[in-house]
Amino acid sequence: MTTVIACETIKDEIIYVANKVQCKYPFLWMPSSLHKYPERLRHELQKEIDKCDKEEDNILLLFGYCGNAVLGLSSRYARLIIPKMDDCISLLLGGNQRRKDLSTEGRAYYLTKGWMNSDSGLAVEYHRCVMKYGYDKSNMVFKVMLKGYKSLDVIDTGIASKETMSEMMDSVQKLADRFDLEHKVIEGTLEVLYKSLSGQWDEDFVIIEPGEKVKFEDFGFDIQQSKMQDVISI
Amino acid sequence: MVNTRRMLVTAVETLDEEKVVRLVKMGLNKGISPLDLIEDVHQGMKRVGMLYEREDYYIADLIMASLIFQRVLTLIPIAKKSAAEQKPQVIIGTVKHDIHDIGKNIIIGLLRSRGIGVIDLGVDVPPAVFVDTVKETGAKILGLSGLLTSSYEVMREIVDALNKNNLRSKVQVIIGGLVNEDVKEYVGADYWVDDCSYGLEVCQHILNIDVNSSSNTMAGVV
Repeated sequence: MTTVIACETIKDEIIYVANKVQCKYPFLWMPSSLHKYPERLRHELQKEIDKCDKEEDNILLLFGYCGNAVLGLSSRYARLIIPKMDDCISLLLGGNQRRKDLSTEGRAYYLTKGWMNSDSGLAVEYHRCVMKYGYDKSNMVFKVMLKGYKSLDVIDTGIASKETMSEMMDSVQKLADRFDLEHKVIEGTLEVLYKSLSGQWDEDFVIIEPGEKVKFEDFGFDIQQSKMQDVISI
Repeated sequence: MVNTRRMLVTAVETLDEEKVVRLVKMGLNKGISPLDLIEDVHQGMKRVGMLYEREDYYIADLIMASLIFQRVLTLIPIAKKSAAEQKPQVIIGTVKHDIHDIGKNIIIGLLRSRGIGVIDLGVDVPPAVFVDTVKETGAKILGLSGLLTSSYEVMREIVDALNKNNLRSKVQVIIGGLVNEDVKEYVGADYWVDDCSYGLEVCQHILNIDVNSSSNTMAGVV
């Protein structure tokens, strides 16, 4: 038996793929807003794991590393399966490497439908800011927030209708114009979600056995190597 | 005077920029020490941080707080003077491939307001620039800032380069951002901080500056 604990930020994509592969796993959704507080997210994830792990063989966590939020998680009874990705942006772009490759073309502030519609979405935050501080101060705040970015890029995973994409792009264009940024659509992929929900947990996933904890090195960070370097210091 | 100072803390907490500016100017006219005024602004900012933790404030509010703080620093003569005159003791930058700098800028302001000389290398800073600046200045503290998971790799690259250049033992490395003990171990840093007040305290500790040496203590530091 497998249960999925997933982030609401990518709920539309997950539901789309779950329907496609006729996934019968039960889903537990975690609010997008927890991403702003990785420690709190970790605490909530552990609570949910502890609630359901007795009955499960596997708990699939549809998150990325998300600012250390999955570090230290463990289950007494079930395996934990987590995509080996920095966060949901990397997950929808097809991996950390593709994200790195794309960054050579100029730094992008990535937007997804789920993130845009969340309480922390860029347009939502801008409107809230204008209501509170007025246009002039809000523009100053957002210039700081978007400093260093070249463009606002919307990740298109192919699940949004033409109308929805068009509405999103209108909203993004307004923000981009206001802050002298470019904007464009970037092709995303649902490959990792397909593999996740059809049980193909290959090298793109971290698998933690019962009783073990998610460690830093599980996500490709080798601590031993780092410690060896200290020997050189004088 | 006490009333002005209390009102200043509250004005920062409620992010009322014009009121903050008015109260700082009023405080200076009344002869309140600039350090005390900065400390009040700092206390107000800590309350802003708590309100963010409570989900009453958003990222935009944190940025507004940092803008208010930067503006206050331009009004305080001691802050302007000390930053220019002090020999740099701290080098700070956001590492290559990362451009997040709100926390970095706040801590730079806090350090300068305490008379600690800081070199701000900016954002997206290549490892060689950090190493060269440590070599050229002999600063005792190197602060590496980063919010992206990918920044851990670059931070480690910088520490490795310090090792290779026989500089590691001459400088204390502090990492800041979305970091923890595991990241510190991975990077090979000396300290990790995820809170500007605590970052200030660590720097003061390294530089052997009494944390309580100003007229205000740092009570409540995380």
